Amino acid sequence: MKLPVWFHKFGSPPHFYRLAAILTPWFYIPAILLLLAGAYGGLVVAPPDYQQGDGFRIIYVHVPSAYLSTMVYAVMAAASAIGLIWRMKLAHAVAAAAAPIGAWFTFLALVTGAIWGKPMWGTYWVWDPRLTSELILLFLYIGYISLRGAFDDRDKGDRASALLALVGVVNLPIIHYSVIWWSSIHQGPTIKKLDAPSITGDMLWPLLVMILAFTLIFAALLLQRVRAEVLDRERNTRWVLDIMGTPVRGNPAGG
Amino acid sequence: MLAPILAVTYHLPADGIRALCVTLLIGTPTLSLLGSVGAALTAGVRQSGGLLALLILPLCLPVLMFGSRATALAAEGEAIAGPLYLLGALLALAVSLVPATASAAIRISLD
Repeated sequence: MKLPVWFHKFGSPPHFYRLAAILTPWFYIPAILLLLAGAYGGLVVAPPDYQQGDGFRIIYVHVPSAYLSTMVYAVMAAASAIGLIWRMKLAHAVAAAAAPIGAWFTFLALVTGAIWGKPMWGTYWVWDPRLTSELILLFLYIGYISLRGAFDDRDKGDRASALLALVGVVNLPIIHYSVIWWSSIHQGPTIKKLDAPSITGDMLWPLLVMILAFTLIFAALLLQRVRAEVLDRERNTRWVLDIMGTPVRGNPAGG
Repeated sequence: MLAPILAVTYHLPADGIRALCVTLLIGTPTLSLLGSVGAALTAGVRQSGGLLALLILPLCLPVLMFGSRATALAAEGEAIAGPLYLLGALLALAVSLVPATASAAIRISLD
């Protein structure tokens, strides 16, 4: 397949390294501002829930992290597919950098859910489809990271873990539709019904702001981690040695 | 093979035992197919046992969930078609997708 020039340029590690350095603050700054606005909106402006009182406010962390746990997996799987199909090294670096972030978001979603579940459902954990599939997602992330680490040859680890990421994609629709397909203790989607949201506006806008803020934080973290990953992978090439100010000794590999 | 006999010792009603056998019949090939993907992925890795379990367990969970659900429903005298259809769907998916995936995995880990 013929690919446009910008695709190759974007995939070149030195180019991406510089571009990411410029972009990172443009994600961090709005992310922090939105986070502050969302926290203020969620903790101060939003009225207490008529049943749950102030306990519902944990959704301002729970929903964004749960949403991102699947979203990051989708990004990781897409990057893995690109890496497998077009043998693009940068895509593998992106997938490798995204996995730990996604694992932490999944962990955060599970923990905040458990903290909320104790007073509301009377238990930290139930073997409910939504909860179980989210736990499977966490195991997939951990399996992905350890499979990558198990190979001595980085190239092999890249491709094997990419394949695993693609196999794991079947879990994403299961997570998303689990509350619709099965009678679940977890509540159904609230914000998706855009025509008539079952949540009041004062509660809704901080949630949307928080989702946006979390997404931007993910983008900023991803860019930063990919830069580190690229530096590590290309550590013997001339452009990295130039950046690091290390004098090039003898005959450097590649360049 | 031993499952029906074990089920009798656990006082599972006859309907439950029948459902158990059917779910095992449909579920076991799915589990083996999933296992082949994991084995293929870890073929090039030393000490792959623990890693294999970590990779396969999450993929197996849906099969186990539907299987146990069908058996539990049958033991209570309810219709079990729903989970059985889903088990069948998983088997069909596994049969059609696993050979290609496993061959790709073997090619990666042994080249």
